[in-house]
Amino acid sequence: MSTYKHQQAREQAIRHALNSSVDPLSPNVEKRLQQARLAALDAQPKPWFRFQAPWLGWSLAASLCLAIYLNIGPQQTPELTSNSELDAFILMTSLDETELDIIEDLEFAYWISQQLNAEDTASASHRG
Amino acid sequence: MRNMERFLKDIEKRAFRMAQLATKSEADALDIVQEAMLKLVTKYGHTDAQEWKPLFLKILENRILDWHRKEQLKSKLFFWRKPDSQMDKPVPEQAEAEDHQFDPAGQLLSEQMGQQFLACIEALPIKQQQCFLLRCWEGLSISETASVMGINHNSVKSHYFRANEKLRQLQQTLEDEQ
Repeated sequence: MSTYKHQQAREQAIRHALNSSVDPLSPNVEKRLQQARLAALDAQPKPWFRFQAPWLGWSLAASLCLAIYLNIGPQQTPELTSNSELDAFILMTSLDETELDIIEDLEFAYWISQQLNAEDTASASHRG
Repeated sequence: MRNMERFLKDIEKRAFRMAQLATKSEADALDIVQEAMLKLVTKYGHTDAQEWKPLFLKILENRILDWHRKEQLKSKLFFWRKPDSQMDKPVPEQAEAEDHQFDPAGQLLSEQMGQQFLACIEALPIKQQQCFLLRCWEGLSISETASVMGINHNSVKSHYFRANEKLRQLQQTLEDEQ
């Protein structure tokens, strides 16, 4: 047999002996290896987005929705920039229909008086 | 996750045997394999599955060499003590012999001879032993073995040649005896 064939046969014999030596191992060793494997797999780091507790994900989602609602909500109502505008807004909303009519009448009276004043000044200038 | 479990299940026994041959201790070999598994899963679990085998073997090799360095240091510090690892050294002669032949090309090589080879491998210097196991048992190429062991190609060839030479001499002796 050539040297190469000798080596091949030897290596095959060694591989066979090695394979036979691990199949099977003692039950105790097999159990320890299984425990080691499970412990290692258990220690596998989880992806950051996968939460350990499902309720944590839901509560975070609810908080996010609430935050969005609170941020968007106030923008739908008119913004009152000063105290005088706020006072006028409160006054207008608190008046009833009769009071609003009176205010409109007052505005009309003010307007008509201004018109009359304008006519008077115009005729005086013609005479002059 | 399933792939990793399958990979570990597939390699764990061979890894244990490699560590046991290196340490000559069942308990230490189990610890080494456990540490290697843990490191692979936690540090390299996200990598491509094809990279797991060389990575795992590299981690295993490093753990085995670390163990040897510690043992050498211990034996120097406590030179009067007998090493603990020799206590549970398997006795090759006690192994059960199987009566079937495994390969027509190697019909002259009996199961008993296989056990003698294992004993010889166990007695090899650590680098020769690991190099031989990686090449012969794990089927790694020279460059893969060099990468796993962290040595150059020529060193791999040299370790492998020396290990093979010792095994050849053993085979010669056994055949002469028959």
